[in-house]
Amino acid sequence: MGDERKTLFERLSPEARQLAPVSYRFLHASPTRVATIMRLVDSRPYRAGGYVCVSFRKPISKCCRQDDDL
Amino acid sequence: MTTSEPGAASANREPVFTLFACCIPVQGARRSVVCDLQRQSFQFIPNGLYEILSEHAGKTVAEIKAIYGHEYDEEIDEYFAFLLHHEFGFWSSDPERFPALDLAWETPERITNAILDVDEGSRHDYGAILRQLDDLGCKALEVRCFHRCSLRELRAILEAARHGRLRSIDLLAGHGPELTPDALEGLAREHPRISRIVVHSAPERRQMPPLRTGVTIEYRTEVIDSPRCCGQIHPGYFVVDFETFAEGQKHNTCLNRKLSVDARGEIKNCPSMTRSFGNVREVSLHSALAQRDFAALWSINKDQIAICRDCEFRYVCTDCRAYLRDAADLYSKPSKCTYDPYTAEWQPPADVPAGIHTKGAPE
Amino acid sequence: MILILSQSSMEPTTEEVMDWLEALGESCVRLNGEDVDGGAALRFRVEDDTADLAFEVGGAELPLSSAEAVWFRRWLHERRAEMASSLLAEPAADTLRLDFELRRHLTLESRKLSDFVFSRLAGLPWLSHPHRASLNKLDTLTRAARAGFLTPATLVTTEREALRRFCAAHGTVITKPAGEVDMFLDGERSHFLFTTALDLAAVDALPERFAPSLFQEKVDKDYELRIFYLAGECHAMAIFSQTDPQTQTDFRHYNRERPNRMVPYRLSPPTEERIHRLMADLGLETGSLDLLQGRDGREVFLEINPVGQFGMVSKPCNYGLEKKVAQLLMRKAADGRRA
Repeated sequence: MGDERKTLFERLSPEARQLAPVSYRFLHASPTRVATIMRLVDSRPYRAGGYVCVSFRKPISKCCRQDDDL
Repeated sequence: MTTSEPGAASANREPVFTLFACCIPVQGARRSVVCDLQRQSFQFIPNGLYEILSEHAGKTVAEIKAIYGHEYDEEIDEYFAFLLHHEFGFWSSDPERFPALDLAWETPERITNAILDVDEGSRHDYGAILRQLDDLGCKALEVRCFHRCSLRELRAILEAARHGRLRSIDLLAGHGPELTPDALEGLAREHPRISRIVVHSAPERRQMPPLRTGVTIEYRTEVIDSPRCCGQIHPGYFVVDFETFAEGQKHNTCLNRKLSVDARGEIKNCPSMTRSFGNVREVSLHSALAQRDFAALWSINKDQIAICRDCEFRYVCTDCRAYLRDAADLYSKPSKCTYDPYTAEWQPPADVPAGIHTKGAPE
Repeated sequence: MILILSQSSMEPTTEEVMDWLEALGESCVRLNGEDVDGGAALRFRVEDDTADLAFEVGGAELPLSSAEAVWFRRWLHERRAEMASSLLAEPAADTLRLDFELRRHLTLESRKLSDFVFSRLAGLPWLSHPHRASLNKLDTLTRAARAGFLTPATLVTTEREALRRFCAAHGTVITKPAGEVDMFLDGERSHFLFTTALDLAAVDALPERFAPSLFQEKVDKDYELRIFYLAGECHAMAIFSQTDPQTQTDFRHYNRERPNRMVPYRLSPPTEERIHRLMADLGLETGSLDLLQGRDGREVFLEINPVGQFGMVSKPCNYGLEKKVAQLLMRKAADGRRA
């Protein structure tokens, strides 16, 4: 898709470019990060639909021998 | 000191070095560290710099140099260059605007983390156990299967957690032919709560690249067939973040708000402890927790433990009260810790680089 | 019982407030924008002189009538109109307008329904309210100046010449949306409307005339301030992003390698007073304020978000705001019961 290389502003039609404020010329594209870190998890019914899960950072147990080269 | 508009009266004041509140120096017997709670790493510093940062905080560089009789001017410049290089602090004319972090630790859950042990002989009612953990607000669970596991068994456990409030499940399971990387990846996708899967007793060591969601799957050759394997103390288990650091000020960072059910169903602080508070088939987790002694060990923090209290790692180390150097002394250091803070050496020496960026920290 | 109006995903702060409510002995119920928009079974009946509104989520009816206080956290009411593809089964080049008009209507329908749900709860004490959820930036700047704040020189114009003069008077200039900072989904990518600095070349590249756009002087900063205001108390955090050129203009350009420094901050009493005055003027009990500490010593007001994320202030500074919000909601519920 040739669109990949153009900024969003470049992809607007001439008419649309006239309607867009100056800040649209500087839109920054980045890959959508939603899937990477967020994991949706069900919670109890009365709480309705899902929430973000951030994994527990502390080790819960320490069974595995850690390698000396870190 | 009168407070006025920031910047107004201070324009003429000489700037002083001000640590960012999240960069906290911790003194050890032989050397110290600066813990960067925000970027989750630490750097070693000499005790001389610790002294400057603590006793002489708020003084100008000129004042500090004078205090040391101008015998260490060059070192002092190097110290501040080092601190600036790591972005541990900044020059401020308004240091009183930047208070220290309040290290008070509070959480609504009665139990924050739990261990559930499973072996061939276990007959757990997973639904009942997980429901009760839910009621206690438990956020994170580690399931340790010491035997060779089937996928069906892992699924049964995970299904029981499906509608609960757990946010994170770590699985430790003995290797079986069913536990292929594809199968485990599928499991992680079906059950988004899974944070980590470790397969022990595997024929070869293998670390899968983390999934897009951050879940890690790992195969290890070591045999983990009982709770006795636990209690490792090593920089790989250090946690440099605010929650643990704050918790460690007054609590035991391993046992605090932890509840465990061992492979026989005994309710304990951790499966490696001998004291049982009842069997989960007969006694509810709630009533076990309500027993006065249950939380007795929760407040034993590193400052109370011999040798550990002099160790620069004491607020990032997650301790172990089960396997002690002196089994008769509850306040002795963990038996599996080979670090000597008085010589700053690990025995046998572990390769600890100058600054460690601890793994596994999500955004 | 506390009713929380929220959206279903990416809400760790809301979850934590709910955990605190339960630990403190108060029950709570969460209604998401998606539920009102068809995500949950909805029933509203008017018969004779009774009106009854009910939602069923996951097999259980939400006990709306037991609500004693409402927290408006966030709302997403355009689920149906958010479909990526056309609403038509057989879209064509000449059906674009039809598609647009269908979406617009569906959005309005959703909003009407949401408004109705809010009106059913009007008699209860609220923390944040949808009608005060989005402020007008320019209006807020005016009021801030009135409350005694310094504000950045601001210009809204369609003329490049006016912009040139503005640049000559104020040095580096930034542009940003007059309304909300927004994000446009584009397949695997998203386009973010951040604040951007304009150099002379960029200004020269503009046409003589353009759509009305907002410009402000760029204040060189020592650090930014994010203040969460809650029922009379200010909780301030300083953000240092100067060391990282990527974030110099807008701290939301998050740098994962070297995250910006976020530390607790003590506001001066005059600044706190100005904040109280401004919040009172806007009729807000809570909100997040952005200020800037300039290199030249100025403390400059930037903007307010009445329904913002406070987790990003609470966690780095350990202010325990999740618990404080829970406690405030409980006080409101208790006040409501007494009334």
